[in-house]
Amino acid sequence: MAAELAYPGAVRPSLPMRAGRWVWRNLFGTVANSVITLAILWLLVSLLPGVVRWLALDALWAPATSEQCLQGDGACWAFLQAKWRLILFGPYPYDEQWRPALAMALFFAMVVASCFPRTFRLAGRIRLLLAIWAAAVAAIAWLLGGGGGLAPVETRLWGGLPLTLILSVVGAFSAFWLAILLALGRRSAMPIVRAVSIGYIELIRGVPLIGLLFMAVVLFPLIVPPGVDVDKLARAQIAFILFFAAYMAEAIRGGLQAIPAGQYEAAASLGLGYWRTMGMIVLPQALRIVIPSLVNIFIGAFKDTSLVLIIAMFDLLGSANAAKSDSAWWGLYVEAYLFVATIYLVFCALMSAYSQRLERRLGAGRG
Amino acid sequence: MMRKMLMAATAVMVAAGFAAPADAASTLETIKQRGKLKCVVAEGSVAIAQLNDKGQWEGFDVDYCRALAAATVGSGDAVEFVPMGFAQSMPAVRSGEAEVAARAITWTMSRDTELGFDFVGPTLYSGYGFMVHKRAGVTDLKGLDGAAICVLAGTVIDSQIADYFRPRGMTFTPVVVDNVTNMYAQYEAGRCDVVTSEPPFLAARRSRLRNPGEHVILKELFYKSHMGPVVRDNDPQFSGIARWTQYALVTAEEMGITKANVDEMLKSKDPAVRRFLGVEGNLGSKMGLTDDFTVKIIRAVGNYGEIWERNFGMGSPLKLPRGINALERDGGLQWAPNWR
Repeated sequence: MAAELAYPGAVRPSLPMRAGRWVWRNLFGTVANSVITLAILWLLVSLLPGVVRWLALDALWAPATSEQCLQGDGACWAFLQAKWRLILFGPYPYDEQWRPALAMALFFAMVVASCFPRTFRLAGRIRLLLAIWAAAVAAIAWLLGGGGGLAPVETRLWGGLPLTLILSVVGAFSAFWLAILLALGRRSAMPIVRAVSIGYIELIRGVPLIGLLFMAVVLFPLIVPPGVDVDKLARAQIAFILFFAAYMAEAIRGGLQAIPAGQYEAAASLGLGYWRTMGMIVLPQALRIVIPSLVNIFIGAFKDTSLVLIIAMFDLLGSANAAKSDSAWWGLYVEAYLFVATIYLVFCALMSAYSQRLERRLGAGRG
Repeated sequence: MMRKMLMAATAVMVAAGFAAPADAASTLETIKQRGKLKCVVAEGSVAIAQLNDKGQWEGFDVDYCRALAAATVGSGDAVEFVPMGFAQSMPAVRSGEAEVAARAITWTMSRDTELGFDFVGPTLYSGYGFMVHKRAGVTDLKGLDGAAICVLAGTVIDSQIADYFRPRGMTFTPVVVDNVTNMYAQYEAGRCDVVTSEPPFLAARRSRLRNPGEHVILKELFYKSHMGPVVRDNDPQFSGIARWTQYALVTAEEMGITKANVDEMLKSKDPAVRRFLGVEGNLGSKMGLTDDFTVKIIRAVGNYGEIWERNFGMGSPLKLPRGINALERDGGLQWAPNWR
């Protein structure tokens, strides 16, 4: 581009020439680059045909049976054709699965609307947005749980992607608020508040998540008197919230420490109290700083929810495991894991891309 | 200080966990009031407890749960399946989170006596054997000296193998894998020379390996494993119901009563059949059930032979032979006491 501007009279080189030049400069500019390019090319050439053959050319579709699949050389999409609904929705009653599907659609629509507020004329209209969210959450809970015209479905039957989303989104959202309190508590001047916050954070961070889940699911029923029956999903959910809050609190504390003392002093000189100082001056700046690490924790949390398969809940990974232990499809599993991995990959990539966008936008006014 | 607190907490937990169920209403009452039996099953175990394409539970142990629900509540659908890993299943029955755990638990003395459970059955007689790559040229257990053996994490199989190998001066390298699918994948990839499981399962798995002809299943077993559902041992009435549900399944097969012909058999003149189906006598109500509870069981799941065929046998993808799980009169080990 710059070259064209510098020589306005020069003839613009043809596309193949420009492409050739770009390739030469960027891919074969130095010896090291040439070696890397050639190595990658070689890898692609040697792997790609096999992958294409496995994924498409040799792949078996319904009505192939598991025996044909096991003797075949390609992917067994027939297996996924039979099992995709089990993987996506777990043991949720088959005839009612439109409900979690609709609930997820509603949730994704809300997320998109909230992520791009300008497009949907929601920018600055926080109250309206919150009201819509409250309505959406109520609708999602109604769709999943039933009642009021829909057949009730107990939480123990919830599974698949909706369960993964609930555990991670509700977990991260609730943990966020708890984390703010913990982070503030850890920097508080009040010794008891500080001690409690430090004790909590260090205790939870010192325990593996899986230990916490086991405690919530296995030990809890031993401790409470029989007859007291707290929902298993709720127990696991609380364990996640408690766990993620400790990690988020430390991330947020990092942000708080990065705020210069002058900001606190300025707030004090304006006569602002503790909560207004924090809520109006310190936290908005601190949270902006910690977006990358919060997103990092959230992506981790999203994937960590798959640990509930240890406590026999059928989240996305758990239901993929259930799909592979059906005697009708015994011996097949790669396709199920590939399916689940793709879903995880798409979600994590979207989250990461949006967080970068957010950083750029929020960082725009700085320096 | 910390230690004392921990000990106190543990004591409270233990006391709560162990004392509480004893004060509670009888297990049968609890189930009837709830209208549902809570039954622990494996969270995905081929033919034992699996979710079908529609997300419904199927399998050998699942059918036992349905039979017990039919006996106690009256319907095979009155079950709340509680999927659980092996390690949590027995504590769950202990704590009253479920009434029964049907997840192929091996009957051992300590589980039966020390841990306070009653076993039903065995509903499944089995043992452990080995499958090896043919190219290893192994023909008997002695040939396995020095082999790398794939074992499942969290099971006692590696110590069982050690118990067999050590006194014979043999060694092995355990290759620990986290789940069954992975175990066969590792074995097929050659990460271990030997894989161990129940021989019928080995046979079924072998038929699904890439080249079934390249694997041999050794004839000898090194460990017996007879499995059955477990219930708490502090409620003799319910233990009896759980055991006699299994006996009802076996007796029905002995008498030739099936899901299809049970209504026909109600008109039978054979006094043994009439007593069994509750047409005569009151064997069921003496246990706190209805007299026709056997009829309800058979309507829900059929007899033992039907359950076997549906999940393991010719009616299933596994196509396993009955083997030692045939009826006693056919040379197997499945039997039931007299129904009177």
